[in-house]
Amino acid sequence: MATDGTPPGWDANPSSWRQRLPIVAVALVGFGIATYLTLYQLDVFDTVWEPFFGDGSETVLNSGVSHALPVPDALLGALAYLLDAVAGVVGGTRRWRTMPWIVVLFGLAVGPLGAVSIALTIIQPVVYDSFCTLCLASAVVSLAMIPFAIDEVLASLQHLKRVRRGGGSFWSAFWGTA
Amino acid sequence: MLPQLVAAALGIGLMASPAALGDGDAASTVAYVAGPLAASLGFVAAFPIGRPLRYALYPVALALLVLPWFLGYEPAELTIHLAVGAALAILTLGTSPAPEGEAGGGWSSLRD
Repeated sequence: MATDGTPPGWDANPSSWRQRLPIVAVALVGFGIATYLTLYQLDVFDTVWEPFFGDGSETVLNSGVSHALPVPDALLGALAYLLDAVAGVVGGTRRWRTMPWIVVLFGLAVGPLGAVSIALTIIQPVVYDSFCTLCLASAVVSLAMIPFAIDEVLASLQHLKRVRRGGGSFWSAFWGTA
Repeated sequence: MLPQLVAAALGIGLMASPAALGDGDAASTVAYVAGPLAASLGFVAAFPIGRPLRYALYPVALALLVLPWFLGYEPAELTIHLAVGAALAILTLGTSPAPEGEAGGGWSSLRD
């Protein structure tokens, strides 16, 4: 491992702040969008901003899919973005080695959020024949985080594999107690 | 990186095509499903770390090339879907894997 925390065989440190802070900033943008949509779904606002698709946002945000769960789907999105942001700032620049669990949690928060966003992007026009501008913006935000988050996950998984191959405890390494 | 970004742009274009062309139900549904998939897979695969995902563009391209013959598209829909499907297949075929030495051997290092 290089002195700056760069993993073996890597050109750059995927846990550096230069790499992580933009993801956190993007996650906070997503959190802002999802919070706004949540407030509309909770009737705090009477209308929702929709510059392109007429009443598309209202159709999508009041649809059965959006209210299929006990809480509005945008609230789940907001919580997921908040988890992304928090998981993005926890730990130092060597966390791919010292805290693999938070890196994996970060990856699990970012990856599935992107997959769900793509699924919702497909459902909007197919089921409701409508688009929602801010929902699309949220999907773009969640997708944009994926490439910048998964390289850190790869570095942690490679570290765990090296530990296991060297005869060390996988779980001790995973929780950073080794 | 460029082939995957072009694939992503084609996906966005496909997503917008029903509104532009007034597609029928079948072609619209295929465009609304395949478009976001191509756009998102192309975007992530544009980055070296996500390059293995480029293989997931093959089923999307295949669907665009095969489904029009069974779903009764209009000529314009047929042309657009076949052209995008062929372009996605060619772009994916013409893509070399990312240099894995830059990331400790890449994802394949986990298989060793």
